[in-house]
Amino acid sequence: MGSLPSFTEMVHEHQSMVFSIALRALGNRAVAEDLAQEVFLSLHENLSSIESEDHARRWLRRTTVNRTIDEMRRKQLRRGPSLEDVAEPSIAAVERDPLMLGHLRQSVLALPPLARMLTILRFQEEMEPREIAAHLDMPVATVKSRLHRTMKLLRVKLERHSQIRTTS
Amino acid sequence: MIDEHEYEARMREALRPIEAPRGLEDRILAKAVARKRPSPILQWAAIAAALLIGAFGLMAWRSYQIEKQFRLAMNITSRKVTHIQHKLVIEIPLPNRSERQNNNEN
Repeated sequence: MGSLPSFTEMVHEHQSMVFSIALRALGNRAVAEDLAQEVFLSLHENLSSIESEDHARRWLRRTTVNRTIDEMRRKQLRRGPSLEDVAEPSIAAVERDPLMLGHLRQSVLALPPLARMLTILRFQEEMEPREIAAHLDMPVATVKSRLHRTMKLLRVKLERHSQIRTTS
Repeated sequence: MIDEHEYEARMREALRPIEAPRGLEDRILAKAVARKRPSPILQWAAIAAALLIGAFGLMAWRSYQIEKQFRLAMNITSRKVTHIQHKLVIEIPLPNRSERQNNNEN
């Protein structure tokens, strides 16, 4: 259990994580930013219940995930906006295949809300299925099977996309 | 055919965390300050002020009620007195001049 950082430090430290989950899932920068602001304001109101840095991170991630799923379900945002709105990596690294990565991001955005969130938590947050299950209050087996199905679907789409590119 | 490791690496690359937009931190902090709840001292002061205003209001209302009752009582008394005066004038007529002279001579 570490010492408790200030609210400003928490915002500075976790803003990218919160914004990133929301943007990858919602595909809309303005909506993702609004959601991130609401999540942090909610944290500010509940600061007295936060016990440590790790607790703050888990609290923020859980709140972001829940609010994002609610937002996805409410608006049924199945399709994201243009590619350039979503494809913005944190590091200015050169992507090996920007077209393919853009296609993958679009495919993730087209997934149903829960499958989309599972994929984001698995690959963006690099969480294990066990952690995801605990986070979403779901059985581990359900998380594993859903992830497996989703990965299979995305893989098929990716391979189809690669074939089209090689033939054209 | 993409192998499993390559596929997962691509997924990680595609879903790499995105940097928060410039100024998001400042906007969050500004909103948090704006929404900040008042201190407990201020809250108690507000409650005390509200109670004080309530007490003064109650006192003013009671004194108004007393004044109203007093005016009503005065009004009723005044009417009664006027009524009795009228009755006295009608039922006991004043003696005329000759009667008064006779009475004086006797």
